[in-house]
Amino acid sequence: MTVNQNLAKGIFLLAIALFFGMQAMGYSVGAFSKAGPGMFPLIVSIMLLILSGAVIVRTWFMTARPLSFNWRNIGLVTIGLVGFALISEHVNMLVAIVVMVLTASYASDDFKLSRAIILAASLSLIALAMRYGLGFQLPLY
Amino acid sequence: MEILNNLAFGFSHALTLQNLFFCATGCVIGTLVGLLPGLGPLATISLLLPLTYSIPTGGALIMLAGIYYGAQYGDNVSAITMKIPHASSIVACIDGYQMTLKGKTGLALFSAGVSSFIGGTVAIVVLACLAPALSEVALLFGPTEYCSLVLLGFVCVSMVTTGSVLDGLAMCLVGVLLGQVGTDVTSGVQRFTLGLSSLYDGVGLISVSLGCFGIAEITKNLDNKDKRTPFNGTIKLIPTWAEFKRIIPSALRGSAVGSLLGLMPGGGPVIAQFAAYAIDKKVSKYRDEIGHGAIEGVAGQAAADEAAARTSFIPLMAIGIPENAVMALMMAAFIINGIQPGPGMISNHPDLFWGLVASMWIGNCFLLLLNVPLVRYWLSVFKIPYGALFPSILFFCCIGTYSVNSNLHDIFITAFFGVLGYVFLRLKLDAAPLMLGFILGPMLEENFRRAMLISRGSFYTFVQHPISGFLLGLVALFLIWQFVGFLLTARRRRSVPVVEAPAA
Repeated sequence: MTVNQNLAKGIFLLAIALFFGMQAMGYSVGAFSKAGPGMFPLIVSIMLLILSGAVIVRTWFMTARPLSFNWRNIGLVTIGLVGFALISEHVNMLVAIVVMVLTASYASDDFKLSRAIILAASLSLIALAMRYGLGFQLPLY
Repeated sequence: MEILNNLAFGFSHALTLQNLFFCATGCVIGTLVGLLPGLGPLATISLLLPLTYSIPTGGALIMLAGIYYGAQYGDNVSAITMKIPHASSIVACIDGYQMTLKGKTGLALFSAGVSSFIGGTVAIVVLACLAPALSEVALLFGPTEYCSLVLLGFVCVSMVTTGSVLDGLAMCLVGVLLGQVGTDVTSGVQRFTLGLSSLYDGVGLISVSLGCFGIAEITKNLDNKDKRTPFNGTIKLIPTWAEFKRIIPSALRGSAVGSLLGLMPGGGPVIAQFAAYAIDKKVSKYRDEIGHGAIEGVAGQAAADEAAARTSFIPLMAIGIPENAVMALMMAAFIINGIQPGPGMISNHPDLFWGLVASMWIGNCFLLLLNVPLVRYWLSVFKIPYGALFPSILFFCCIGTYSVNSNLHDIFITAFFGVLGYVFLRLKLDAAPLMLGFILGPMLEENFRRAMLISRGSFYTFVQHPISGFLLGLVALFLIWQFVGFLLTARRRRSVPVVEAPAA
């Protein structure tokens, strides 16, 4: 299924405007002379709402372009990052570095296990050097 | 001569061993990230921001500035030798790469290096003369003027960076909204935190910039799967006298254009290059050769690039409003170190201001040395395969995010912005205006609230003040101009069926 990039853009912006606008209405708005915490975000959300509406209207005047989206690479990179944080929290950061490098490396189209392992080892060494050489407080183990 | 005195004062600060070291480090890192894909100056500066807590303020600013203008040099090298444009060297790919194809790589690199040096030098003179004067004008600015100026900045940045004002403005507003996350300073109410304790202090600047520029960029490069062939040609650097003579006029033209455009809100290196290239194409004696590998096609844009990178510091340091995303990050760096950029900065911290100005010229000399005689050694970094490079960048992103607050949960936020940045990228939305909006958002809100408080809730205050009214007039003018332009192209497209849609 092809999605029109321009339309998707407008809808995405619209969603952001609604997300912030709805919440902003929950805060006290106040008067213009004495603005509450909800006033400014509400104004900005409304402006964004208008702009995203204009972006959607504009799609009628523009040639459609298909939206290309590659889940694999962004997925692997994100899993690597989230995994890094989770493993650092529950096990330790050295294990996390190895797991992150191996996961992320897999996204590369010329993936080589040997290279990924060497890389993980050298980055672990860099992390150790940062802790003992530069005094970074890293929970390495 | 007051300026000479001030500059001498600046050099006395910049020439200490410590500051020389920071300047050199900044230039080396800058050149490196300019050369390599996946980590532009924006991501690098944000990566190194936490580091600036632990080094002296002056040195930290000198280093970060060095990264920014150093990256402009490095960019040129990768554009000329391999036709890899990063953020800011699209123009260098045209004539620069043509010269490489003709076997004149050395000449192209020499022209780019020397013109960058000339551009940088001219811009520093402009910076030293203009910034103090402008900061006196900025003393007249009240909350209304600041609001209008920020709005003008948003419109200009949107026009320049994305080509479509609508997209750019929308991204600025998204940035402003993201800047709203956290505790409201005036009322103490927590806004948009979704109940997450790590968002109480707001979304981390480093998470936003590493996510939107670092991680999104890495993933884009992974998607593209472009094979980079390392450059293996010979480099003959020393030009003949006739060739050298051709560099100078074009470099001077570029410096003037670059210095001017660097000053404009929304300006900066990218637009300056295009303008300088276009002007050279019109007025140069060798204009027929431009586009097929002419020295002028490289020299003019390189000088403009470098000049604009420096004069774009003027609005930041004199008025306190950054004009593009990198300057917004620099502003964050100033604030982290307890310095408020703006009208008071030059008089309150003369050592910092003049030291920074002087260090830019010293950095210029370093970069000339690094990028002309030593350029062939730099090219060996391209032998590093991307498969090894990007996990290392991710590693530094993780460590960098973590070390800001020693909080692992910040990495989740970085990952979230990585995905968001990738979505923006795929939707063809430029993240640079978002960054500007994100950093200026809190300031815009504060000034807006204050202006409304003073005027007792009347919006007329924004047009009643002459400076503010003038700035808003410019905003209206630009918007109408863009709208009319859009209508005209839409009409033309309807009468003539076009196969491929231009980027709008």
